[in-house]
Amino acid sequence: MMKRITKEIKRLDLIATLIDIAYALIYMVVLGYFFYILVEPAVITDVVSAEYIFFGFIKVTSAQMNVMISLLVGYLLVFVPTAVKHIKRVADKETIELDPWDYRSQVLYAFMAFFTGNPASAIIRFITANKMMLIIQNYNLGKGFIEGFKAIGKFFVSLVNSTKAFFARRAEYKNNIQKFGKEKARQMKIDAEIERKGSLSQQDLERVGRNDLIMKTFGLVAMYTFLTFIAIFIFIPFYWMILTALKTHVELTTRLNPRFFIGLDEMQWVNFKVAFTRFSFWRYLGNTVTVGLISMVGTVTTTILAAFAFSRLDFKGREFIFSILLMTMMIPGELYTITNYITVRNLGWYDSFAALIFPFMTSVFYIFFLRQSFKQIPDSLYRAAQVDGCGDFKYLTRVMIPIARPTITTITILSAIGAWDAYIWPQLVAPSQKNWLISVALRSTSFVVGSGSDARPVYNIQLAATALVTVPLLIIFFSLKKYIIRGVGRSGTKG
Amino acid sequence: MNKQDSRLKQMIWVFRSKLHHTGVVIDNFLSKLGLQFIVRWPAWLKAIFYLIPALSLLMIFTFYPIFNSFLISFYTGYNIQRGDFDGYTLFGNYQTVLSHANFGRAIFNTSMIVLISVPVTIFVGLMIAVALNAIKPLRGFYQSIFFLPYVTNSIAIGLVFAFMFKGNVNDLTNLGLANQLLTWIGLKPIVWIGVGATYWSAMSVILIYSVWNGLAFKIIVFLAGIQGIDKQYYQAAQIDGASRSKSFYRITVPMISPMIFYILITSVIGAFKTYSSVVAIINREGLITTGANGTINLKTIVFYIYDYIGLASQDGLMSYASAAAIILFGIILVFTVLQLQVGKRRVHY
Repeated sequence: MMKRITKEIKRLDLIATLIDIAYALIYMVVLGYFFYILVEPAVITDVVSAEYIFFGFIKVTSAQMNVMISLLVGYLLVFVPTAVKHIKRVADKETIELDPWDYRSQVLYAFMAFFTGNPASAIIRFITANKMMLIIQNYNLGKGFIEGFKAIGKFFVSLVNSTKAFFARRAEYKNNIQKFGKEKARQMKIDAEIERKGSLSQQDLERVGRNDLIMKTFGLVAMYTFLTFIAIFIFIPFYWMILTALKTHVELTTRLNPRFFIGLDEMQWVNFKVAFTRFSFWRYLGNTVTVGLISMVGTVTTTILAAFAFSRLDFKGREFIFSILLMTMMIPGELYTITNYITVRNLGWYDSFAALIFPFMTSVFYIFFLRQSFKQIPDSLYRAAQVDGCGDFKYLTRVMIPIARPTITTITILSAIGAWDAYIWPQLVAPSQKNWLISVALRSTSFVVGSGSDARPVYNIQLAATALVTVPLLIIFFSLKKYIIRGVGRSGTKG
Repeated sequence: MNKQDSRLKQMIWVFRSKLHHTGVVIDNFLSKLGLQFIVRWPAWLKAIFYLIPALSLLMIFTFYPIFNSFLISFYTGYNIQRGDFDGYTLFGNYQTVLSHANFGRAIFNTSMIVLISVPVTIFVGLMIAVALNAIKPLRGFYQSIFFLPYVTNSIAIGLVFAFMFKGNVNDLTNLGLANQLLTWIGLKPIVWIGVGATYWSAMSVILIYSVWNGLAFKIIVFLAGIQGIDKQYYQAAQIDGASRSKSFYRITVPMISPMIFYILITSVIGAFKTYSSVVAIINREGLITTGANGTINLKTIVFYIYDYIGLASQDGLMSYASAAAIILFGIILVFTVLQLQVGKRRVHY
């Protein structure tokens, strides 16, 4: 039962989403303000119990403040992604099919909006849901529930009936043994079965089908269990990072066993603020973004030009040069790090951004990757463009780049991730603190109390800083998931 | 308004046609003199123009260094600031490096990582990809979760791992997550990476981290490969009564053998170059100093090389670094050639 979404529903959805976004923005500002007024402890291991006063008369304790911040963060975590999803859906030019699930999720959103103090959006979403219900004929929520219950009821009734029949048959069989003897009773049982279910071969077929179904169900259960275990294994470092970052130092040092859950009022959001100020996050972020952006633009430009030459221009020695380039992919980077270190020192770039940018302005792997997708563009297009008087450069910018855009996006993202992850080379050639990139800063900054041999690491602040480094990349990943996963998958299959 | 507009258009058109005419005249003139390549570039000239940015960078930062590192490895007493050296030695630096106890240890550590983490990661990755392919609901969700390690900062998550595996026997007040799990199943907490750790406990943390970190890429590539297999093969196998495991070994594995092979080569190379995971989990020195057991050395080959680069200002040490890097290259080359030889027989393209 699917229908195309109508303009009216789209418009209502857009209005509700815009209201949601306005709320999210307001809440973000409030969250920022809360972080701004959070009182930092004098010593980073202390727990602050301060009192905050709003509008002159509302008094809020630290624990209540923590609850408020937790709720706000939770709200933003749920609503920002859904708002983005809705906006994407509205902006999408393609027609959208509408099914009962859309109706259900619309009702869910309406309830969520209502309970998060957003009545306007809730009302609009209820109206939208009603309109959807009109379009999806023969459907409403109550009926769906009733049908579901009926089906479950039928299942139980049949289960009870078949169990009863089974016991009745067994009783009869035992009865027959006493009456006619074992041989005859068994024969009678088989006869009855044939009468009930059909011939023996048919029974066999049914049994095979049933076994198949059971095997399939078992397989599915096993697979989901396996996947869930691995997913927990993959996810637990992230969870543990955030959880520990929100605990107090006292808890981390004195508690016998670590807790797996903590209450909203115990979440020490101030740790993030401490990490932010002690770690001078903005400076390292600025360094990383500057270096990352420049080398990204450089990489993409040189890669596109080189890939074009290797895929479209016919010149002598093309394959030879390209195979030499491919061979360098096998050589470990350390072999050239040694000389590059000397080169950079001789050029006077030591301890400057230039040393971080220029060696990474091009990449053999990306050239190879992009050449593959350039090669898939048919030659006839090139000939046609030439006949129309389109030069090579124009052809590259007007035809090839738009067609290969997904690959280029992937390259851009991968090189940005590379800049964020870079550690070895930056710590080697830019050791002074003003040039630290984010990974170097994270490994080199120490959050300790005490001094000398008595120094103890303050884990919660350190993990808060770690979370600050991890989260931006996760946001990028979740907003560009499609490109990243597809691009990485393709890089393997073509390689 | 309209009239003006059309007049403007006309002017532009006239200008363009004149421009074109001039171009044709110049073209004719040049081709009379046999100089037309100035205007109409031949392919090789264009190629140079397109390749200059990439190739010049590669020249300076890739080709020259490879050549130069080979040279440096034959120098004695090389000083990077003055750029001079005492003399040449053919195998002296290689001999020094190979006889160095730390280098042997580094080779041992690195090969442990290669031999254990690569097969485990590939096997588990393949299992996960097959399982992911078999399910329909929640596939996107699982896929996103499994992909997360690919987009994280390896230093950051390494620090988290170090924290998860902290804790020791004497000090039961602060167990890490791993030790907590051990106590739940009735075992005693282990000192993983702190003071009092053993070689294998620290190594196993590094191995677990390598597997965790390496899974993402493998799963995505394998899944892309499996999804590209034609469904008809499986249907045919089903009709012939092949079991699930049989169709996995006889269809899935051969069909994605190019990807398995590609992943095998790249991850062996990657595992030989392990560095930042050790830095993040252990420390910058790659050593754990323990009272009773002495020092535990967890340096990898790359670690060994960077130790020398860090001391670059001393005479002659760069030559050792180069020699070690070339030995690493040799090892990787041998492994890759071996794999290619095996792959020729086993991989179906």
